[in-house]
Amino acid sequence: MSLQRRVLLAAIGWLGTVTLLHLWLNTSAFEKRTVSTGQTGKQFRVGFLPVT
Amino acid sequence: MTGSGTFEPVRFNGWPELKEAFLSQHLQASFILAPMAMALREQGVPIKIVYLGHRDGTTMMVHKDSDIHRIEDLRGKKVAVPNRFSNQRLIIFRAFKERGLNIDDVTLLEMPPPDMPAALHVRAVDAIISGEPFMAQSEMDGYGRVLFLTKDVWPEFISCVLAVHEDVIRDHRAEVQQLVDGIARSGKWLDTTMDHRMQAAKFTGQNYYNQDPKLLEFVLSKPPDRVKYTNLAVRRKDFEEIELVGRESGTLQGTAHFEDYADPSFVTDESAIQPYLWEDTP
Repeated sequence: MSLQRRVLLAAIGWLGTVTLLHLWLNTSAFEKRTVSTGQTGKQFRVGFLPVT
Repeated sequence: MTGSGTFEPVRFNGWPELKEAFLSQHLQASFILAPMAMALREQGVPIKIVYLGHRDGTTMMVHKDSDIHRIEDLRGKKVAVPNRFSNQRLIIFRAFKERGLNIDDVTLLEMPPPDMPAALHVRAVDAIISGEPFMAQSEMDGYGRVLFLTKDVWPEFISCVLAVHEDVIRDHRAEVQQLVDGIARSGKWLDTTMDHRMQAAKFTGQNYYNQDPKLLEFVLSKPPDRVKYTNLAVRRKDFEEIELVGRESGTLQGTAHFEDYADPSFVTDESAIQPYLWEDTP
């Protein structure tokens, strides 16, 4: 395998890894987007600030 | 908190972070500033206000050694507000207008409520205004003085509302109803006796807010109507007033109206709400 091909494959691999990490860490792309029906536990999230 | 309930409370320290989490649908519902929810609706975000979090419960504090003794004395001063899209900003606009002042006569700085007491303590700002208990913290610690309670300037003041994504209302109405009923019944329970308020200060401070229960006891009792948890149904006239002040102050564009951003159908008869019968066990 030529050096050029190795560099290209490494670059594509790096780009893919960074993209997947970004989607996983910074977005909710891999999170299950369902609301609890009351039987599957706590999935109805309610945001609040600790103010009265 | 531990347990296996349907709802998971998610705590934030600043409004921008909470707003982003709500917009991304990480949160199905959220307590959010009333004008912020209305502004989001103006921007086309499909949410509805279904209930209120509380009434009143906001205080403006100045440093105890300050020369500010009346609202008029705020002219030329620096005031910290929770957000541009907060009713705390609108109450300043409204109070200034009633006194012949202009909002431009004061410098408003956006600041997360938990940071406000320290800013007042070091006199980085001249006044702070937010929902409790952060304002009372400066009072309890001895460097803050109450300039006004909202109940004395804008009675039945609305700060936080419960907003829910429209698709959640459509697909999970029973859960939303359960959530609203729980808040409504808890509110009635809170306002039944002062002892209930003290019980709530204890378990809320320890389990949800991570705050000193004594601070919450102070807020919930001095005076008892500093914050109220009844009369929380979504009423048209209250929001039309916020719309009006919001438009005048440039906070809102006036492109969304009550039918667009509110769904009052979850509580149509407040007198029918029964308080919880729960009592704390020593």
